Amino acid sequence: MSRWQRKLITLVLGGFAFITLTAEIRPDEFECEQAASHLADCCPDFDPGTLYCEHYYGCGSSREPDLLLAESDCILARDCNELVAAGVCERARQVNAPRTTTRTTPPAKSRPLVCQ
Amino acid sequence: MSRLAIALLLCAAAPALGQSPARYDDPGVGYPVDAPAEPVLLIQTLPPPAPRTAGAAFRLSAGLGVRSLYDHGFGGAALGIAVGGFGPHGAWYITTDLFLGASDFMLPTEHFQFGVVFERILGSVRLGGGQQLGVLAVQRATRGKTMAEFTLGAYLTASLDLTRGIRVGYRRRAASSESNVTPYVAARLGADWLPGAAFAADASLAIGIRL
Repeated sequence: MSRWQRKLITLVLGGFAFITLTAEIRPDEFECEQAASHLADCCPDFDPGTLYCEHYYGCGSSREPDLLLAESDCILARDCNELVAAGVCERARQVNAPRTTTRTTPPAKSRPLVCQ
Repeated sequence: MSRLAIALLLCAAAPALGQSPARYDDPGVGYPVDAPAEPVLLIQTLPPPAPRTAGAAFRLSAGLGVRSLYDHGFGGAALGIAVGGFGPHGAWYITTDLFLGASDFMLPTEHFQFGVVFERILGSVRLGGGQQLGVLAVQRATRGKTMAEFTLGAYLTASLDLTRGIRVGYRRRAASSESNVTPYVAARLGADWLPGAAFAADASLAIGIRL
């Protein structure tokens, strides 16, 4: 095996390992996105882009999805009429935290639960 | 009847009698040339083609597929293309599959898979198993980049040939080609491991053609 072939294999395996370790569909992210889509269907004038559903770990700051897993599950378990009647749509509009805020505690501890 | 009239009658009847190929004046050439032959598509149900016992194989399929991840369902189209070979009792394919669909709450989803499958041929039925490496991508409802993760999966498949073969040929002038096309229906059931410690299930029902 030539040196170039070894380099190519190393590059391919390294790239695969890197993507495998960094790319991930986390359950709370996925459920948050599903909930955002459901809210967009059910709530008049709700912009799903106002929610943040990613995990972010940066230098000195981190951020969790705006919706806890339990909140997302609660939203997904309800139909549109229930979401509107229970005030979930209204509370979801209030979440809207600025994206640059450094936050280390789960978001639900600093605000009322969107759905319970 | 005069000789001239007889000559005119023979000239008029000659093309119809097949004594002369169709000719026309091509303005680009300036003199009469043979009319271009129309391509002919031949479709003929066999009885019975000499069955090949080994060789290269190619197949295309399209159908409906489902996925399951974190107790949520996905539905959509399942497309497949495969190249391989077969012998008297078995076949193998390098496969490429694409699932295009959406989650139960309408998040657009794609699942691209690449792998290999081995099949046992039992008359018109084929049973097999395969392994695939893929990428599952789910688009977000919020802003942000698409969620994606590698998948490593295994699956079982069963297919049934709908006929023994249809001879499809293409002929144009002297050139021609012929293939035996076998339409089939196939079902598949599989599981995919996502390195983030999740499992996804997948299933599909498709129709296809095999050459």
